[in-house]
Amino acid sequence: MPQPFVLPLANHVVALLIAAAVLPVLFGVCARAFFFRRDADDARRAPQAAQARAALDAAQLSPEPEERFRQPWTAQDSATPVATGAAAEAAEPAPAPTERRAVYVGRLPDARTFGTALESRWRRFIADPRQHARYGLPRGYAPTLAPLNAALAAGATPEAVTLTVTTRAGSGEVSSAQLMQIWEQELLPGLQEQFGTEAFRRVPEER
Amino acid sequence: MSAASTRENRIGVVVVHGIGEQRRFEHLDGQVRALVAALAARPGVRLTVEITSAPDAQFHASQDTWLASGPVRVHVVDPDAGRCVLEFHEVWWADVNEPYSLIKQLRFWAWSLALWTYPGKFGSTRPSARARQTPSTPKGNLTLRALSIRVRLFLVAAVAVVVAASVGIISFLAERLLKIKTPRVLETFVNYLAGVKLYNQKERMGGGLPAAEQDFLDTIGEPPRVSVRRRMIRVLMQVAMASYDRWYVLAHSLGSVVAFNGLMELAYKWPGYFDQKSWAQAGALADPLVGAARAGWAAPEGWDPAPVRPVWVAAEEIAYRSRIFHNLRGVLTFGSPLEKFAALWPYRVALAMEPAFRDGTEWINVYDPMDPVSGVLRSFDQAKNYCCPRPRNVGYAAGPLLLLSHLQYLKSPRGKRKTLGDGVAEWLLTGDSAQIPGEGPGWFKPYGLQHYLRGTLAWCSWVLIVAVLLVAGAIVFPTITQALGKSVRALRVHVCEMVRPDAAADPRRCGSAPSGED
Repeated sequence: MPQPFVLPLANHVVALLIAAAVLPVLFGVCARAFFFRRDADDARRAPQAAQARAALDAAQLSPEPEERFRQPWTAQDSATPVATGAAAEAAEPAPAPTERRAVYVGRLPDARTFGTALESRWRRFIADPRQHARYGLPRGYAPTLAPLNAALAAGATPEAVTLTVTTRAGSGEVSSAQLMQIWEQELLPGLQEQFGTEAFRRVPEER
Repeated sequence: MSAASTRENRIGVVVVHGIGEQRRFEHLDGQVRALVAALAARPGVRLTVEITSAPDAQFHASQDTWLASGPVRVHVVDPDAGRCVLEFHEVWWADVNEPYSLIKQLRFWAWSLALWTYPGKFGSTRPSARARQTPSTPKGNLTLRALSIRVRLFLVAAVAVVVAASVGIISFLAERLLKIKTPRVLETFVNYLAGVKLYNQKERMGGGLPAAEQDFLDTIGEPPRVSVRRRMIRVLMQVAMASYDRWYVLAHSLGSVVAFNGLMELAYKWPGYFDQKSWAQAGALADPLVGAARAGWAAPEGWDPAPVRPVWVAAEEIAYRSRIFHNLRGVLTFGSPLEKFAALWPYRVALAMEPAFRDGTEWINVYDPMDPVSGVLRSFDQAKNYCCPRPRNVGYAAGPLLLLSHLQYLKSPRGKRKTLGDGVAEWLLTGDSAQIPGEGPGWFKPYGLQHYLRGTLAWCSWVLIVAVLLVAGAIVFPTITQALGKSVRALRVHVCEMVRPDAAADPRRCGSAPSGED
C-alpha cells in the first residue's frame, strides 16, 4: 500500500476517505445491476397522466353516497360546549352529537316490560367478566342501569311501535360507539329472542 | 360559571412513531410526557393523567398491561378551553421491522451503501392508481432535483462508511457485548436509513443465511409497508368509532409517511386492512363508517394487491372516508421525510383524489434544517383541500445539535419562548393553531434568514462531524483490524499445534514467529 504521508494517521485518513468514496459506488453499481428491481407495477408515465386528471373535479371521483366533507369546520365546532347558569342545573342535557342512535319499528311490548327485559339483559352482561375482557371495558366499570335511553312511541298500528335507542356515554369511560356495539351484539339478540325478530325492524335514519 | 357546568370536550390524539426499536407505548409515553408538561405550564390549568390498564395481565409480568385503545387519558380544566379530556392512541409498528440478526446488520449496511441507486417509483399500472395522484414537483427541473437528492444519498452512504469504521464498530461491540445503548445521534442516523429501507423493500426477511422470507401471515407476498399501513388504518377507524368531538394525528419522522399513507388510502382499499368482524362492527354503527358505494360508481377492475381485497367483502363495499375523517381537526408532522419521498419515490406517497376532508382540516409540518430527515413540504399542495389539506410549513429550532434535533421537537427545552409543545397543547385544547408558530426566538418562516442560518450551521456541523469521525476511524479501524489479525494468527497456530504435534517443538512449522518477534 502506498504511504504518501509520513504520519500514519494521515495515511489512514486518506485510506478511509477513498473507501468512503469507492464503496458506495461499488455497492451501488452492483446492487443496481443484480439486486434492485423496479416494482412490477411501476409506470414511468403515470405522474403526467395523474396530473392531467387532477384538473378534473376530484369530487367526481368520490365513491361515497354522501358528501360529508362539504361541511366546513367552524370556530364553534372547536369550542367547548357550555351550559350556563340555572339552565345548566335545571335542564336535562340534550344528547351530545357524538352519541349513537338506532331506530326500530315493530310489534314491541309496553315500555315497562321492555325496560325490565333490557335492564335484566344489561345486568347479565355487566356481571360477566368475559364480556368485560371482550369489549375492553375499564376496570370497575359496572353501571347498575343500562347506559342507553330507550324511548317507545306508539305508531298507527300495534305493529308500528317505534323504539329509539340512544347511547348515554357522555364523557364516561366507555364510548358511545362501544355502547352501541354492546347493544347491537349482546343486548339486542337476547331481546329479539324474547320478543321476536319482527319486533325490531331497523329503520335507516335520514342524514 | 363553574367548570362543573360545562360538558367535557372529548378529544382524540393519534401518535405515530418513526422508525426505531420502540417498544409498545414507548413513543406514546415520551410524547404524552412532553405534552403534559406543556399543558401543565398553561396558566390556571388543572389536570389529571390516567392510564387505562387492561383487566387482565400476564403471569409474572414485569409491567401492567395497558389497553390498546386509548391507553392514556388526560383530564384538563382550562380557563380558556373549559373541561376537556384528551385520549391518546398509539400507532405502533416497530415490530414490522425485521428481527435482529447479524445477517440483517450486514444487509442493512450493504443497502445503505447502495441506497443512492435505488430505483424510483413514479407511478403504478394498478387499477386503483386512477384515483391517486403523485405529489407535484415544485418549479424547477425534475431530473436535476432527483439527481441532487441522489447525490445527497451518496454523501449519506459515504458518511455511513466513515461512521461504520469509527463509532459504528465501537457502538456495535458495546451494544452487543456489553449491552450499552447506542448513542442517540448514531441511532437517529441508522434509524433513518433503516426506515427508508423498510418502506421500500419488497419482502420482510427473517434471520439466518440464506435468510428466509418472514412476512406476517396476513401479508404474505406483500411488502412490509402494507403491515405498517394496516396498523395506521386500524387506529384511524378505532378513533373514528370513538366519536370524539375532534381528533388529531401527530406523526414523527417516518411515522409521517405512515400517517400520510393511512389518510390517503383509497376507500376501496380499506377493507383489505381489516378482519371481517371489525369491518362488520364499523358497518353496524347507527352512523355506519363503511358500506356500499354510491350508485353509478365503478370499482377498479383487475388484480390490485397491497393489500388485496378480502374474500368476504362485497364488490361495491368501501370505507366512508369523509365520515371517518369528519372530526379530524388536523395533522401535525414533525421531522418528516415526506418531501424526500416525493422526489425519489413519489408514488409511495401518492395523494388520494377522492374527497374526504372538511374545509378547515389543517396540516402543519414542522421542520428544522438541523434535522436532516425533515424538510419543507413543497410537493403536496396541488390537490383540492378536501382531497388533501395543504401543508403549512413552520420552521422551528428543535435543538442545538445536528441529528439530535430530530428527537427534540416536542421535548425542546423551555426558555422564554413558546415551545412547539405549547402550541400543540393550545391546538388540542382549543382547536386554534395560531400558536404554531409561537412567539419568541426559535420560530421562523421557510426560506427566511434563520432558515438559511440553521442550514449553514447544519452543513458546518456535517463537515466537523465527518472530520472528527475520519480521525476516529483512522485510529479505531486499524487498531481493530490489527487486533483481529493477531487473533486469527493465534488461532491458526493453535489449530496447527493441535493437528501437528511435532510443531510444538518448532513453532515456525506453524507459521508463528519465535517469541519476542511477534
